[in-house]
Amino acid sequence: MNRINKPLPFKRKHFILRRWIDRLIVLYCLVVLGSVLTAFTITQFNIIELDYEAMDFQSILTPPLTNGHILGTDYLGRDLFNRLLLGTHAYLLPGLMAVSISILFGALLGSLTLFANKRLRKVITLSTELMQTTPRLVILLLIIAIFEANIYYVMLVIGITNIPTVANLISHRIDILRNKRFIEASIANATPIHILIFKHILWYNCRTILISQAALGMAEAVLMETSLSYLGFGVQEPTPSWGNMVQAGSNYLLQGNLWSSSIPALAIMSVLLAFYLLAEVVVKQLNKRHSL
Amino acid sequence: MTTPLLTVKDLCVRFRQENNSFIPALNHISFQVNNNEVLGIIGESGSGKSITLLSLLGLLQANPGVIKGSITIDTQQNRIDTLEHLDQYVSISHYEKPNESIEKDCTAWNKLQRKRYKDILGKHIAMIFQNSRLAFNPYYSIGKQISESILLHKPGSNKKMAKDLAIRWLKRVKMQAPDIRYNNNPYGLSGGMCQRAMIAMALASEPDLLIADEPTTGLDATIQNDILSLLEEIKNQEKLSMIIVSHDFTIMHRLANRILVYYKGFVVEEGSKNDILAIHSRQHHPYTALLLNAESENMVEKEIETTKTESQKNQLFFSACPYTSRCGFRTVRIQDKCHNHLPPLIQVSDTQKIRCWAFEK
Repeated sequence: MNRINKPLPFKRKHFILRRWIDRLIVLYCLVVLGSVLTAFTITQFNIIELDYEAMDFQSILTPPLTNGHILGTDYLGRDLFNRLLLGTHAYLLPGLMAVSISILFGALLGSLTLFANKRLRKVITLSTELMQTTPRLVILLLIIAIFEANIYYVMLVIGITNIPTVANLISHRIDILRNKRFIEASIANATPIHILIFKHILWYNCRTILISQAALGMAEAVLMETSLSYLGFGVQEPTPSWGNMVQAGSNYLLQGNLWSSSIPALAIMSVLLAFYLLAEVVVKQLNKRHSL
Repeated sequence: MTTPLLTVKDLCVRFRQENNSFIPALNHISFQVNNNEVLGIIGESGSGKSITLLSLLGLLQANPGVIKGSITIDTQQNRIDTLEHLDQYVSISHYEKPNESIEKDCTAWNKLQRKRYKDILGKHIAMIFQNSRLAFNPYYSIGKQISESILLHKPGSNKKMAKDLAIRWLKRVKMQAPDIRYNNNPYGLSGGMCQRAMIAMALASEPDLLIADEPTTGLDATIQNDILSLLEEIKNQEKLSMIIVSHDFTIMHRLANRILVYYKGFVVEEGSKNDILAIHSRQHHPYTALLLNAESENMVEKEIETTKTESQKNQLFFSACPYTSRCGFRTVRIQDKCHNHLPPLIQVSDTQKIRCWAFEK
């Protein structure tokens, strides 16, 4: 009796709080990723003329909101806001390319394991382990040394090295699905193999994996691009990238100028966080819809 | 006399064991299903009921699997022998001897089977699974799955037509509020509703033969009753032929016209419903008598003893009756025969056959 009358450990307050946190996360993702996309479209189609090379020698290394510079200027007096908007060019399209390569080929390779080829499974598992144990930055530097410092080469390598990871996840999921009755039932209903793989398995049963991997892959692409640009191997000056903006500003950090390096660094952080949270939110929502 | 819809002749299935010997999963199974007839298959678990269905559906992937026999499906449009040219893929030596060895080119055979069954599954034969909630894809609505099946099997139908037809079929199987249920995922439905949806999905492609693998397991008694009445009604309206596999005599009583009793991969008794389900008749295989008595709960002590299944090694039973070790009414007269010869299916009346030496004339 006492047990029943005891108040529950969770109060209604907590549930409401959690719901609001969820909503805030979604809002955050929408705002950050939406502004990245807007920045990209504005600069791509020249909706507003932005000059990222114009130097304002009257205001060098100024803090935000001075002399008409919203986010201040860097060591050459270039407007940080304009450079921040243009910096989205450095990773958005290349990152999408990397993600689409890894997701597309990873899903195809993973679904080939449905046909019970043990050798293929072994190849996928071994190459995943190989990719996870090799430092990717070293491979990227090697590629840059052999060819040239082009961001598309870098993203191609990132995309290809991510294929085994996605394939491994898909093939593990297929191992679970293989013995499920509904797969057997759809075979007994003469469902063609392409509908079975693409619709039943990849879309309806693996989409959480694919979507979360895409978001995480995008975050990784952003991180790779900015870190390579920081080191000077990615996007080259004067073309802006968030990575080389951080690098340029970091020389003046100890002189008391925080803004020119911390603003692009904060931008990188918030975009990474948005991608990670997006992966979590989408998976959570999809799972919620299918649970009992 | 019209030709039967499905004819199975002398079907033999083997599974491989570790020490390269073979388990006889099915032996010399022969039966036929006529138009608008319901065949019931009954037997304990492990007796080969599901293997029969799988080999009918061409889904038996095991090595060697089907090694002998013929399955003919004879519809109004065409006549298909699904085990044609089987002997070209299988080589058997010392057939039905203890040192039997079988070689089968399984990859080539399975490929051929897949090609053959592409036009049969769903169009001529449809299947109702036991525990139908698991037989639906959990991630999208049952209505979409039914219309997908319709789009697959009815050429020339578009999405709108398929949706209308799916809702009509859901209404037909007495689903309440079919247009709402159309958008429900399988986990949003109760077990009985899922079973109804499964029946709708099987019937939507208008098959000639419906195979039901234990259609009422996992449902409570009232829902079972509803599902059985539904199947009965649909059978009468649609002029369907059905094969029903179950270990429940009430289903057989409600639906079946003819019944096969399986024991360890053999058909031990075959007959019309009235022959098999007559409890007080003396014309029964001892195993059928045991099953019937177990059902009616008036087992005597001696019989209870024989229900204990002994952990017997699977072996090739071709030199003895498979039921000898459990048989209750061996007499001195036939005991020698039981241990040394496999009894044939002996015709005891016009409709009934029993695989027991006691009925030999």
